[in-house]
Amino acid sequence: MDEASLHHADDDLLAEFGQVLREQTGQDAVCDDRIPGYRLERELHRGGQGVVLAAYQQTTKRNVAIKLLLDGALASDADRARFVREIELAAQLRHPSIVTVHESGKTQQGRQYISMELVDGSRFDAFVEEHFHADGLPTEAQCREIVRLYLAVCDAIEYAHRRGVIHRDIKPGNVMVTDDGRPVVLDFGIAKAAGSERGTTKTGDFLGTLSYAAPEQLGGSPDLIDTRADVYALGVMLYEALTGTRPSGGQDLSIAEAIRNVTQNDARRASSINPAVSRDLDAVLRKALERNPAQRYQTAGQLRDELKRAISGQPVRAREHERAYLARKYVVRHRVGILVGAGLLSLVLIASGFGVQSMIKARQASRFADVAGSLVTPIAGIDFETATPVEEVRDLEGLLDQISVDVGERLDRYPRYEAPLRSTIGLAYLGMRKLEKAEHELREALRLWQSIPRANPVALASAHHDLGRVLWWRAEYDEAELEYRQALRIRSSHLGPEHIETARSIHHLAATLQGKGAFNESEHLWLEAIRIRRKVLPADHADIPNTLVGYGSFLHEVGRHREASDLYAEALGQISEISGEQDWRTARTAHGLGICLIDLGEYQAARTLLDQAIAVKLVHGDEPDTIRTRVAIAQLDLLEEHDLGNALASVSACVERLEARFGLEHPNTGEALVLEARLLLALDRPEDAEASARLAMAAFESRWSDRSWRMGQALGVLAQSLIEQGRAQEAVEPAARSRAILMDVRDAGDRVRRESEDRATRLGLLSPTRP
Amino acid sequence: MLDLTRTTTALLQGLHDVDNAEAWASFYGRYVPIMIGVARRLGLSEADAQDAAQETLATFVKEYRENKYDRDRGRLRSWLLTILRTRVAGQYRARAVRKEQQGVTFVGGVPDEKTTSDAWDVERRRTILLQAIDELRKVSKTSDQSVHIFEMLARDNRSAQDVADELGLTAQDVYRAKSRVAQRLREVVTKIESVYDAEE
Repeated sequence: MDEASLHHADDDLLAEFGQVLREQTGQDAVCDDRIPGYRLERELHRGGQGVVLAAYQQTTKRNVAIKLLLDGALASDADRARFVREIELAAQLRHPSIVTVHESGKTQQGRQYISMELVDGSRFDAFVEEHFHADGLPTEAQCREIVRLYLAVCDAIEYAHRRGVIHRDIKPGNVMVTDDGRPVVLDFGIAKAAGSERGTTKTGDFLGTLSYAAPEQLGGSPDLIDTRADVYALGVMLYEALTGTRPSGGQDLSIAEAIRNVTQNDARRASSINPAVSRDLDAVLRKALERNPAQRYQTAGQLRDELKRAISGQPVRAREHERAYLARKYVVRHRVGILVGAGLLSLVLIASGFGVQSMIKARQASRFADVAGSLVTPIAGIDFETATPVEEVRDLEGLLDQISVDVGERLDRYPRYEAPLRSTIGLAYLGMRKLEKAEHELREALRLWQSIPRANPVALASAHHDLGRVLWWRAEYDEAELEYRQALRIRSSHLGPEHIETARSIHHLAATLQGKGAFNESEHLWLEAIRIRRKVLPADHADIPNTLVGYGSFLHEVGRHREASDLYAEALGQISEISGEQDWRTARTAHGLGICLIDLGEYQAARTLLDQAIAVKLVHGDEPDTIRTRVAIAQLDLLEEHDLGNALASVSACVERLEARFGLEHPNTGEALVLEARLLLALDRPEDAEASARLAMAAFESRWSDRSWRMGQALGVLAQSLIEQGRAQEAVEPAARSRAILMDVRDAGDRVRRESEDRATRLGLLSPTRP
Repeated sequence: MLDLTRTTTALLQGLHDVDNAEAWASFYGRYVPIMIGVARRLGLSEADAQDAAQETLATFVKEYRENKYDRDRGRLRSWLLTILRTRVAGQYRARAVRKEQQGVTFVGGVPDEKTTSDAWDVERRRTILLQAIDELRKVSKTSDQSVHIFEMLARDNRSAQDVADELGLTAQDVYRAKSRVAQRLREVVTKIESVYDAEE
């Protein structure tokens, strides 16, 4: 075309667009709207909920972006109130990669608007397209660059999550990259406040939004959506940036389908689309894109840290189950570290000139022990006693394995050196909840101490105590009891009956006896531990409320819920004072109080506490502790008949994780199984409920006193499931046993007892006239 | 950004997979706006038009999954339009019933094929143009005013000089922006058209 006809064609196009744009304008009339104090300049973006305009704020003389919500985005007064609250929260966020919200208000025509920092730059996807996709898919180096850029996005989301703000609508359109390469996340909290864009029929964002939504966002109620939905969306965006494609595959799952499909994950490996994507990044993406939120990274911070590891050649947790992989990583990364750490220790020794085994003298052994000790000590520096397992520690498992082997080879004739090392290694394993390995090391340590003539009795006592701890974790309460009694006897006679270490053993022995159902002595010991700790420790020492929590769990266990909740409340006050609101100890105590309140029927308060607890615990990863809170929340859901399908999915996932960690025959698993059975009953699936109840009973029977009230509960659920299958005759025996146990337990939750009575009545075990 | 990576044929294959939400969403984004527009042109209110369009899509996907849709027997658009016409007729009927209850006789029939087909063409073009300008806005930097300039010229029928004065530019700048945007719009429109054409 020559210039004149081109010009003419432009005008035709202009006219055509003019008509279309005028029609569109006529529809929403946003263009005539005004905001006092601002000059609205031009449209930057138009989406399902609103229009973003560039504007000039006259008072502050700055350019800003104005988001105008279209009519209908906020349907009810409640929506509007929530919107304002969310905006207030978002306005408090201060992070270099989060857009600054200046203010919000109403336009002349009554539309809600938000005024925020005008970010000069391009949309994330356009930026990536321009910088990294220009010559085909990104290269390996470019992938690393994209990830590096992306770390800031993850960091921003993590920052917001820690302040209780979930984004809920992370997508390329909501992330800008400034001209100097800084990503900025937009629209915090707005998605939630203004309702999802799903179902809006305006052109544009509908489709984009859906592709980044996590399965649980598509499947069910908005209550399901937590920080992990944001993690999912972060995964989708990064996947797209690295491969130019969105992870395909099913996302539109109902809850029921989701339960069936949790194990499936059909996102194609990113590396199959772009071979420059490393296997580590592949694994990280897959974990971020897990359908089941419980399997995903739990926080944006975890994702960020993993991405960091992936681009710096450190082992990623997403692949930690691949043993060969870990070994390789260590060899590559710790060439020097390993040299000192393990086989290398032997090299050091041999290289120091004594090729002949017999010549390795005690002095060298001692040197070896020093080196090995100095390696292990930093790991042991973590507070394993009260143990929040630390994320970083896990990657060290391989290193510990090596050290363990080497210690055995090099020091086997020097028990004095080997014993403390074994203890340290064992405690490190215990901190990682690698129970089998921990038990092995700690048994070995104890054996060594016992083999040493005139060994330091205090050290021997610690060896007993430490072995007791791992046995307690494995719910081997009888054996744990023996070890703790030994430790207590030695500590009491060598350190004194009121020594702090003695109190520690008393505390642990009390917990053990509680575990096996020896409630009388357990209570006596709990009170003794509290007495000693109060006497010898400063008033604000964390061990005091710690013991209160232990006794609280005892009271709860034996059904004295009111006393338990009072004690927990006291401990919660002290702990949050000492450790702060965000500390995991505070969270654990909030959990304890929460589950007491459940049994007292105070559901609302319980939910508040459990929500608090889970928020903090999630930051600490998917530990058994977190799972217990999840289970408790699911229990609340059951009692309040709140989205049972989801509660079931959550509990079933918990059972799986508990089984993986503790085995099926463990009371922790049993507890979750009982709840699973109850949910199945509520969902009218008595056959499945029966199976879960029987598994739960097996769990309790194997290690617990069969008179515990949990066993009573399991029996009750079993009886109920049999009744509902029309097998009343078979139900008689478990119902009778259940009732006998529950009647025996002093004020076991009224509800549980009432259920048991009802059942007994229906089966003719009781006369219906009984009050 | 608009999903232009897949032809409608590929999307249709994706629709077979019940779990493939993305195919569903893309399909929705491509055809629902057109159908809403068509239904509006046939006299339905905005809300009724939205219902009709969504029901049409749902019916289509269902029939498609039952393998009732045969490419060789008719184009996608006529398939969709056939369903949509039935829906619109249903709305007419409902309205007629309401009117009759009020004692007013309402005469309305099923809209003929020619009318609906013409409406489709107009709406398709309109949808594509809007998608194109959206697309352009999305890939533009915040500081880039050229799309805005184009809109001022197009929508408000203003002269280049007028726009230049308001934005503090020269008329030459405005002309340059206009032809740059026009050029890119033409490219994007062609691309979107081809995506639609592949199946229709």
